Amino acid sequence: MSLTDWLLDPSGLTPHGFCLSWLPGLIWLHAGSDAVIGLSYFSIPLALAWFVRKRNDLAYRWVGHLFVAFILACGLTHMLSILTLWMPAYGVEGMVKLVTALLSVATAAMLWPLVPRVLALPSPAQLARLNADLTRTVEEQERTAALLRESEAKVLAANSELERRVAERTDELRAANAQLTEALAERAAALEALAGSEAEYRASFEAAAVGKVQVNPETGLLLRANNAFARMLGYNRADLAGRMEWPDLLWGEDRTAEGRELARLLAGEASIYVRELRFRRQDGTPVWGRVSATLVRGAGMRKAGARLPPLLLAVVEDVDTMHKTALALRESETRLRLAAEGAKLGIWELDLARGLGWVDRRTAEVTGGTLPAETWFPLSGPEYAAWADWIHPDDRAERAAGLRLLQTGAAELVQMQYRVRRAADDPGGADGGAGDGGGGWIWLSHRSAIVARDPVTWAPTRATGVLIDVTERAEAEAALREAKADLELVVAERTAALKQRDLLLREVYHRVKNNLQIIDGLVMMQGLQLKDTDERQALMGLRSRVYALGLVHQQLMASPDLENFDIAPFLDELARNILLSGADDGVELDIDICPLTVNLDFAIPLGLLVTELITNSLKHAFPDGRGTITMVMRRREEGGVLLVVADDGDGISAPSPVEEGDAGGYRRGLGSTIVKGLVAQLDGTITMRFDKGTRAEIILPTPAVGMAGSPVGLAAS
Amino acid sequence: MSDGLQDCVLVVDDEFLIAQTLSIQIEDMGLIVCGTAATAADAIALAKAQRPRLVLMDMRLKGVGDGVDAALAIHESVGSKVIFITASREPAMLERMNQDHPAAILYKPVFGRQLQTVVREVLAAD
Repeated sequence: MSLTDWLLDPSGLTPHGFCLSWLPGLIWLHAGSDAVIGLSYFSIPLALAWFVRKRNDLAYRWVGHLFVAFILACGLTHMLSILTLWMPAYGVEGMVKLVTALLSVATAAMLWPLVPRVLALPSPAQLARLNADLTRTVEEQERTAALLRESEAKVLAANSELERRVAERTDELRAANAQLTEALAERAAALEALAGSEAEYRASFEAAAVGKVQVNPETGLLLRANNAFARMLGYNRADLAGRMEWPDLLWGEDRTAEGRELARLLAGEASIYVRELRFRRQDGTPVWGRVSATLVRGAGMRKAGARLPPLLLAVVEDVDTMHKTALALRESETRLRLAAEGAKLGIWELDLARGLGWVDRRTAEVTGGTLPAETWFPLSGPEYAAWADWIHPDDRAERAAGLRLLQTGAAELVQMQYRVRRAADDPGGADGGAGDGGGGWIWLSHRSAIVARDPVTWAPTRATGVLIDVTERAEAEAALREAKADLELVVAERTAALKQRDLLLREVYHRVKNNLQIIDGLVMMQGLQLKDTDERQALMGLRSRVYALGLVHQQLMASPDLENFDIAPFLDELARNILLSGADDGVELDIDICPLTVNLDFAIPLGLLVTELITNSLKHAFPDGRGTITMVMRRREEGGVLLVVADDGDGISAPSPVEEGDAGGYRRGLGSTIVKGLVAQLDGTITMRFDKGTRAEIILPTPAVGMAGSPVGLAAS
Repeated sequence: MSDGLQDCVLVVDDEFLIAQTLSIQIEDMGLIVCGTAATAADAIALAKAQRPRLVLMDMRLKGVGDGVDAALAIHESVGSKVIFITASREPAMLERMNQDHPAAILYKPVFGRQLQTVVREVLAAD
């Protein structure tokens, strides 16, 4: 049996209508009732589902859904009952009933425990009551809020009213304040003005540089005095006001005169008096003051209408220094005048602004009275024009240029020197020498300066100057110039003479040398005639000595002053020549000579001395023709000059015996005599040694050389 | 000697004795003295005639012209070498002598072997 058979016809039985015997009434009763029940059962869950779906806030919604399913299942069983009237589909019917049964059981089972919980949910009545309570509360609150708003509005209104009134009041106060401030400022200004004028008065009184005094003219008592007044009289200020009386401060001799002036003031004959008079200082000395005094009669009306006695106000200027200065000025003017007269100073002044000139008596004298003395004269007038004629024509231009510098203000100080004609009655005329026909000329030194300038244009307005008669000086200078010219002439003559002397000296030296050369020639020719070797050698020695003399003259001619020359090259050349003319080639020279300036008197003996010593060494020291001759000259620290001539030869083999004590141990013979004599001539000493060759040590005083390069010195000697 | 000069020496000095001394010294060296002159003119004439290889020339001479004048003329016309022998050591004079390119200058007094040494050196310088 298939599932479909089982569902639609499981038993092979007849449909249910059969049981009802197909009675139409019964059949339709069942079918109709089941249809209505089924449709109703379909309708109820649909409505329920709609409700549940719409009400989202519903508690236990799943119960609603269970009901929907369960009622739908019940509706379906009724629909299947209709079907089974005509079809034996009892399988399907049974399955549907099973589903319905399951749903019913589930619903029934779940409904029980749910009931207490659903009961716990508030009922609509409860909610309605709660709602009503809430509504009431809300209404009360709204009422309270309305009341609050009303009262706020009232407060606002009150507040704005208050502000308005405050503003009004503030304006009133401000206005009142402004009025008050103005009034106060006026008052302050008034007070300040008052204080100011009082302070000014006090300050002008107290701090014035001049003395100020207030005196009661009736009693003479000092009411007030300032520092300057106290200082002037040497008092302490505290000792004056209220303690001293005006007349007591005056110098005795001036008191009466002052009293008269005061009386005139009091009598109303004068409103002020100004007078210079002496005061008496505390230390008893007088001091000059200039008093300006006046009487103040209304001074007492200032307050309360009480009339006070008149007040004497006096201003006292210290003119003591001025008085003394004026005195000193008079003295110094007197002195200046004396000095000016004594020094033959002339003084003049120029008032450039007014074109006037002024000269003192001395200047007037110099001008020969052309210019008036000590009175102002116009510079454009005839006096000044006449004065121009007195000036030396050669000097006019220079003087005019100098004055122009001063008048234009180009120079502050102008100094010039010019000649003017000597006045006939000039006191200096007797001793002045430079006669020029009539009165001759005198030299004036004119020194002038600008002393005042216009403060605005700065043009010079005043100039002053002094004139000095410098004729004597100018003449002395001229004489000096003349003397100098004479001297120069003499010097030139002397110079020429010296040049001539130099020329002659050169000529003499030249001739001396020529003559020495001739002598040398004669000796040589004589030597040629001799057969004897010793004699010929003696003549050779003679030639060496002549050569030394000639060489000195050679050096002299080469020296710039023909007098002094350096000994070093001379000795060098001398030694080399002696060697060249008489020695074998094996002999050498070792020369070390310090520079030393010498003259003829030193060089000739020294040259001959060296000639002798070297010749001697050449003659005796080197029998085999070999060796060295040393010549050293140096300044000694203890003064003087040391000359050493030595050889390293065999001194023992010398043919002549050595004798101590004779020329310091020098050999006998002509050479010995010459050496001894020349050392003595040079104020020197000689020591000979023969231990290792021959060694001559000669100590000489340093040669005194006259003014080097001074031909005059030679000429004078 | 291709320059046509003679192997002799001309001695010029206005002092007889000096000229004589110099001549003796020259001859002592084995050289020939071809003449002595005391003036510049004589010296030039002699030099032209004898054509000496060497002239010993004094500075100061008799007559017109000095040793430098004579030496210049001889040097130009003959070509002889000149040794100045002078007593003068003044700078101005030295400058004048040096104009003539002298072979040597000797200063009086000239002694001993000095002259012979210098003459030998000058003649050997060819």
